[in-house]
Amino acid sequence: MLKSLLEYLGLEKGRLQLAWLSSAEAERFVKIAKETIELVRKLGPAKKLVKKKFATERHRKTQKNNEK
Amino acid sequence: MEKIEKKIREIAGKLLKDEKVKLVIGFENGTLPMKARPTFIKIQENVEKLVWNSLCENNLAVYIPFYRQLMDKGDKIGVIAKGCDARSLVLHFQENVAKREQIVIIAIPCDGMLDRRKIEKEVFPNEITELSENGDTIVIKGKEFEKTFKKTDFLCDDCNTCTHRKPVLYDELVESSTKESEKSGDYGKIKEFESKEQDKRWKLFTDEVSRCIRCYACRNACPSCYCKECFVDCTNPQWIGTTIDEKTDLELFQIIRTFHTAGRCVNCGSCTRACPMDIDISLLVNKLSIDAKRLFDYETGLDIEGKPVLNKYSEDDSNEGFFE
Ligand code: SF4
Ligand code: SF4
Repeated sequence: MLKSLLEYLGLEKGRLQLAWLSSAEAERFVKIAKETIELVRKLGPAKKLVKKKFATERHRKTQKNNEK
Repeated sequence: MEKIEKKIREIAGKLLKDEKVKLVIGFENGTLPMKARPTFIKIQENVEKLVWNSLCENNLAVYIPFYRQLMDKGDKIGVIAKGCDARSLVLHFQENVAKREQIVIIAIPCDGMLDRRKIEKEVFPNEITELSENGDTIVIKGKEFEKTFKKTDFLCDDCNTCTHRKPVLYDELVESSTKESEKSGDYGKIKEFESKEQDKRWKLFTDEVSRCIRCYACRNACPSCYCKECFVDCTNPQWIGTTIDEKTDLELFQIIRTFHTAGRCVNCGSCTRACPMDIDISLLVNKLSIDAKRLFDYETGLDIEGKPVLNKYSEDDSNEGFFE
């Protein structure tokens, strides 16, 4: 339902991924992780629901730190 | 209307006189035209204050969580309930907010409530000073004008799509000639929104909620929102920014509040009506009701023995949206 709501509101299809997994399903975990990476690569960086102010501030800070 | 009003007063008076209930929650006339307000009657003499008309829009079940202490002492509460109020009460019983025997439901089959804003828009810029109704006819008066409307043309959207105007559960029923809505369950507005392009939808949604001033009137008007500490007020951890500077916080607030009512919203429309910024919250919450029906064939607040849909698990539940 959450996925359906977010996509209804216009979030990119596939931005939210959900999977049922148990700790015994290692192979399935790998498969799903790989698929998710594929999907996210295709979608590119998230632009929606991103905190802009906060992100830029933190970004600036890390940049400064790196320069030091 | 007058007949219903008389009957309500009679029932409420009797309940208070026989000390069956400590308190009756109903409506009285507000101080502004076109407004009825919730009232809390504790003594029999005051039942004359109770009114019933097409402006009794609040969902009165919202007050039940505040009276837990009173109910724990063994006192009972009478609630005047429309279809949606009764469904919210059922939700409260399911979620142990109150016990069935603690509430006396005085049920009134409802014909839908008027949408003040639609009427104000219609006669804009004139100011309305008086509203009277007679069956299906509404007469509005102001300085130097008078207009007559058909009530059904100015109902709230959520009253039009209402699926259960007749209360599902009651102790006392006030008979009326109510018919279920012709557009019952017809969520045309949602379908139309759904048919738009993804980016267009996102723009419409974000534009709509960008007006939010975080007053939380929507949350406070909602009978399903009764957490002692709401996620927006929590400071440790702080889940979400509390200002309106960051648009993302507004979007997140709306999405999360909406989702907290998933499978628990009765589509009473109280949130939408409460919003001072005229944000169409029903555009969000109605979608959840549609999905609950589509995925789980579930409607909120119909079965007092049942559980809210997201509290249940069955092996045949839909796996829509999950990895194969
Ligand atoms: S979310 Fe809105 S429509 Fe749904 S129960 Fe709460 S107030 Fe009513
Ligand atoms: S009532 Fe409207 S403005 Fe107030 S918090 Fe809710 S959506 Fe925002």
